[in-house]
Amino acid sequence: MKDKSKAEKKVRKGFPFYLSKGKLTLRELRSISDNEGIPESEQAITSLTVGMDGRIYGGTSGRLAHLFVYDPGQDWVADLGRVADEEAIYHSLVTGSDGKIYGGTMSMVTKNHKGGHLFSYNPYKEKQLSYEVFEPAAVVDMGIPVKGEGINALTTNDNQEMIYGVTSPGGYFFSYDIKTKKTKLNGKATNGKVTRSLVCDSHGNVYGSRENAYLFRYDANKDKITNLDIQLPGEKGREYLVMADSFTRDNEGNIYGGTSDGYLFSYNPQEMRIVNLGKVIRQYRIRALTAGKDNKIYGIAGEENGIAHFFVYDPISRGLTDLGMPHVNGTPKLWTGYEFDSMVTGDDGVIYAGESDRISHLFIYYPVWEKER
Amino acid sequence: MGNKVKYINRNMVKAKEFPSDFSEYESCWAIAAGKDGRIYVALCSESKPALACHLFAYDPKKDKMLHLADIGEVTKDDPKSGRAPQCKIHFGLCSARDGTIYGGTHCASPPLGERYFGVYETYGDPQKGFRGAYIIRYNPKTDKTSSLGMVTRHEGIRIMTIDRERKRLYGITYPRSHFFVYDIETKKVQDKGRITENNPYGLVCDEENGNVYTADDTGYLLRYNPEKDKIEKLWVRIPHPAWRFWELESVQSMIKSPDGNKIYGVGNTSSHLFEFDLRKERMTDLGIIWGKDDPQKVHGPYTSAIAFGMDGKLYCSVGVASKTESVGINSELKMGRSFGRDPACHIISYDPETGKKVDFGALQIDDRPVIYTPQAATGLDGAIYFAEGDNPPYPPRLIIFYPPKK
Repeated sequence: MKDKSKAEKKVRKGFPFYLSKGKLTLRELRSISDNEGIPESEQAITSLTVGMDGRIYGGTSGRLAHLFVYDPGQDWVADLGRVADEEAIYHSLVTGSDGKIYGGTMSMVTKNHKGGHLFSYNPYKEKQLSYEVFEPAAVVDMGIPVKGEGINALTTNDNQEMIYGVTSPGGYFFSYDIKTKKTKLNGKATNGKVTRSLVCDSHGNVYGSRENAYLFRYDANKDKITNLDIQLPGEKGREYLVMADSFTRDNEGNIYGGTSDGYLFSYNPQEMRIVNLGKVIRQYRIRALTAGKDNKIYGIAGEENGIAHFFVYDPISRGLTDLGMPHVNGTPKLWTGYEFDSMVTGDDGVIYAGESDRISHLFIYYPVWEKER
Repeated sequence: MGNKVKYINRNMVKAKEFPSDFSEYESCWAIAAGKDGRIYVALCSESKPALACHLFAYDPKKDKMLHLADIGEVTKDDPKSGRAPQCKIHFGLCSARDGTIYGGTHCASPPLGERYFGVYETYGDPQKGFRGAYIIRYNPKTDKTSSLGMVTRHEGIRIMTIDRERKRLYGITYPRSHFFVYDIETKKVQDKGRITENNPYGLVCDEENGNVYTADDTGYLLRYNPEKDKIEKLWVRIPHPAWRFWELESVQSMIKSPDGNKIYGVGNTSSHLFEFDLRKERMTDLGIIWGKDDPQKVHGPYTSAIAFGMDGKLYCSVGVASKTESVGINSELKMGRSFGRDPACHIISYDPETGKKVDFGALQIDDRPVIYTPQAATGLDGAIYFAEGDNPPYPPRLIIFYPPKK
């Protein structure tokens, strides 16, 4: 129940700022049998990935980082436990070719942090998942890829056999080979702001942003990082402040990205052409993007301590539409999400968004699909 | 409600009006009793654009209403700037042990030239949005009001309370419901993050140990423990009838008992009075405070202003719900001020010793019904002071109730 001002009630009916196209619900980060679940202050969902089993895996940040799973078929959430004593899993959860969930950690608060760990979780070794909370999570520590550096983002190549990561604050680029189980430091990706997201094209090249909002490319075949002369779009002069906030890739291989200034762009890796698709709301940041099964791009705009808006970009009509504020009207609870940091599309086309607040939920969005596209 | 309205004894009540220069203002929200015997009250605007809140003090000895400060001037936030003005001090006036009065500012009314204020639509907007909430301080010794600075950007302060022992202020912001701690001595503010969806109107500090209590949207009590620096959910719920929606059942008002060992309060859709024993952590439902509740209505009888009298009894004003309301999550939450021409609120007393409740009758003064009183305070003179909410077309007043002497 929103407490609208009296004057607002006089001239406006309803809540036009809330998301109204499609259906939105949420799940709390606790299992049915467990009233406590993931403690508040440890719930901020800052990473999501879709497992090979169709389940949604999430990584949280806060006082302690947790790993959790949502099973869409059975509609339950389970806290898989905290990930050692780590504080954050930020944009760093991916699914490997072996079906394991791989993650990377970083520190949000602790000074003199020894460095973020790579870890893996094997869903096939779960026991009584919905009724048992593992404390800590049954993860395998794969070590610290770069000493003293947190893991800022992870991605995989198409066959999901290689994991690529970038560290913060140094901006080192590393890779992990799932088959050989070897981690390699491939070089420095930036001497400035560190990209908050990575994306891999269909040829195995990995992209992220570097200093002055330029793109870098890691060529897996040559094991080489190249500084591309391609700059992220945005307000002229602010490039030195800008980084890539989020990436996704559609079915046709086009890359879409969002900048820390809140601009959406597309990037065609073959043509090496970047197109500014505009800014959907006044605020900075595009904190998450995902390609829908309807070939539209869904995302979340809104800065820290701001008001999040879901949006959709239609590549056919080239329309960028603000879907509104994510608000769940009572089922299963009344809740408005203000902060989000992750978004994925499930196998069934349902979109999952990770709220990243002191109290957080997994938002589940059913977009409206057009029949003919 | 009976057919024949029983009005309150005229000798027991008095209304004090604000100066006529402030006739544009339509409501009072925050009220606090000062150590100097004066009653501090905030005169607010909720609907008229470009008006800043004003701080007043009522001096019972002189029977005078004194203008203390223009909050727009104090915060240097000009209400004519085009931004949403510092139009309110909601439930945010606190009286410190040394007599200082602290206030937290709030947003609600439209900016200059606009018909409404959309808190979400203008959030962070440098042209139309609310700049943020300030802590203001009134020093009775110097008669000066000053700003201690902004404590939350773009948000208002819904409710604020004080730990007089540790010299801290605690508040909850609107619209994002963040809990903050303000240290009066160091002037540092800490945002402890979001605690609920909306609408916790009760916030009290147990000054014996520094714990701070409020409730979330689903009615669970929340406790901030400053030693652990942790917000805990107590798994104790605000009592209410079974048909009420949990989503709507937060807390409407909370105060400490005179001995400081218990919290008394009411939920925001029912008027079930509760007692929470701070030492035993035990919640007791004391039943509906007055009138009847009805499943067909969004609200039961409505209680917001509660205060302990010098006689140890709890005094409150209780309004009645409009008959046109319907049940449902999307229904408009109609508060007492929206009751239109329904009967005026009643003043009720509750004796914690005996459990006895007394209805003093409908509150009508100078042929004007009092529809809604958001908050109450007990003066050193033993009177219960109620801030009058909006009751168009009338301007608000300070309502004074003199409890019967033994």
